[in-house]
Amino acid sequence: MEIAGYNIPEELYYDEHHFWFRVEGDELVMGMDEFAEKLAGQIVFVQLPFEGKNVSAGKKFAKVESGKWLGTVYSPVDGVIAAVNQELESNPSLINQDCYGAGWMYRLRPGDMGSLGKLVHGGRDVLEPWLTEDIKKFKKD
Amino acid sequence: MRTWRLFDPQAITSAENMALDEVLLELRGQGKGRNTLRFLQFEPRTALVGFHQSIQEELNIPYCLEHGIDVNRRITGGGALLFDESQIGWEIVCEKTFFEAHLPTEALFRRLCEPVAAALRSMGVDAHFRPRNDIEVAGRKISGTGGTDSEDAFLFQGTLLTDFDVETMLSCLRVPLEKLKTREIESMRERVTCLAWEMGRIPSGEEVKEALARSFEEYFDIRLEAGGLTQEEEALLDERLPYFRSQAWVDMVRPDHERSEAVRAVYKSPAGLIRMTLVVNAAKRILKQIYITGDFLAFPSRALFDLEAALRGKALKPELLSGIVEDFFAAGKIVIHGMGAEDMCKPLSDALNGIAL
Repeated sequence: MEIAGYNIPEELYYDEHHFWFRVEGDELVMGMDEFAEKLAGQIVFVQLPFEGKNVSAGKKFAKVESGKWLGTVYSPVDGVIAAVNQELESNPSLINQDCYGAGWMYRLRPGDMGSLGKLVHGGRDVLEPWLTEDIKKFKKD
Repeated sequence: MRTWRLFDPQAITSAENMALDEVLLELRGQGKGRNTLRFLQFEPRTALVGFHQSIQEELNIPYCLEHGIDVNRRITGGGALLFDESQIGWEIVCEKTFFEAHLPTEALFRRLCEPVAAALRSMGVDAHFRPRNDIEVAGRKISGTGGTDSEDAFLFQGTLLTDFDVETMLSCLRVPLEKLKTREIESMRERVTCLAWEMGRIPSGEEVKEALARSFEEYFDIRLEAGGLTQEEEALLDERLPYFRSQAWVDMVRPDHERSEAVRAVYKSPAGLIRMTLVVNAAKRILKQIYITGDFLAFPSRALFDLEAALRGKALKPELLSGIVEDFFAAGKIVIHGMGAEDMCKPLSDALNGIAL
């Protein structure tokens, strides 16, 4: 779905830092949404933790760099890292090219999917006010 | 009016400085510690790489060892730099809610850099913020910045060039500048400046810190109160310090995906010769650095440096880069008599063709 010029797919879940999450079987695929990607500009580095690493809901587990800012990636769930996108090691700009596809970042295997309820998810009635508010707050002046 | 801590640990080692960064940020992110303005000074002088950079790729390690230059890694992003004893670093560690910002934006960078620019202006140096996050004087960089965040807090820091030893910096940084021609190394001096050059004297560290502290107080509407570490910060610092002294931290990134190469092109336009040197990360397809020189005159005199800044850090896509050049000319941000955007795009395109992608 397009909202204010950004592609924000309706089927995904989003956190406040503008990372997206997609449920695939018992795993969660995650990446950066288009709003965050445009705000960040050229991505120059994505930290790829080892597969099997434990993650905790609300806790940081990796770093992403753009424009001399080293940003933090948080997990929405308790669980483990099932896989990382190794392509990003040599080509982090895949996130800039295709943030919902080839630029996916991590696959998490949650203990349970319960905490997904805390994420932003729904149709235009949910996504549009959420994004509009953040555009107001963060759009480059 | 809120009170922040002014923390000035004076000159300490790079490992102590880096460990302090992590400790102050991590605890503030958990709602502990205090909002803080901190000053950084290094003894011995230190070559610092950004978080994801490889020391083998960015630094001339034998030179650093031979000259007593310490080597370490920042917890923030950005490029390699030399932090000598004369430089003063400034750093904000602060809860995100203070700026109502959980995402970093240009507006946030501007709010964080403006107090530093104003402090320099109060010292008679006409400094201004330059997007995305530098402070410059008439187009010449005087303070580079970088930042990171942890949970509910962020850390934003910058270096302030008090005096500038170009030769030592070029000797210890291994970015392919060593391959640059003498003329281009000379032109480095035109792109960077320092307080000593601008003021005609080297200001004391205390004078600089005082100006910075007063300016941050005014811009953030805060009161600064000198203070040391809390017991919890002291304890965590003791725990973390060995890691920041370890080879495991300093050597964390191997050079496989961080290799840089320099490519150059020369084009004789009707208005004069244009030389372009590009430092690129071909693996990641990123333009790390660009130097444009030649025997033409650009107006305003800073325009060329601003164009370089606009191109720096962008993806190695010919159409994207020439688009930036074209927009620059079309918007009248640069005027070179007898030269158009197409003349500037020609050596750019030639240099890009020389990269083994």
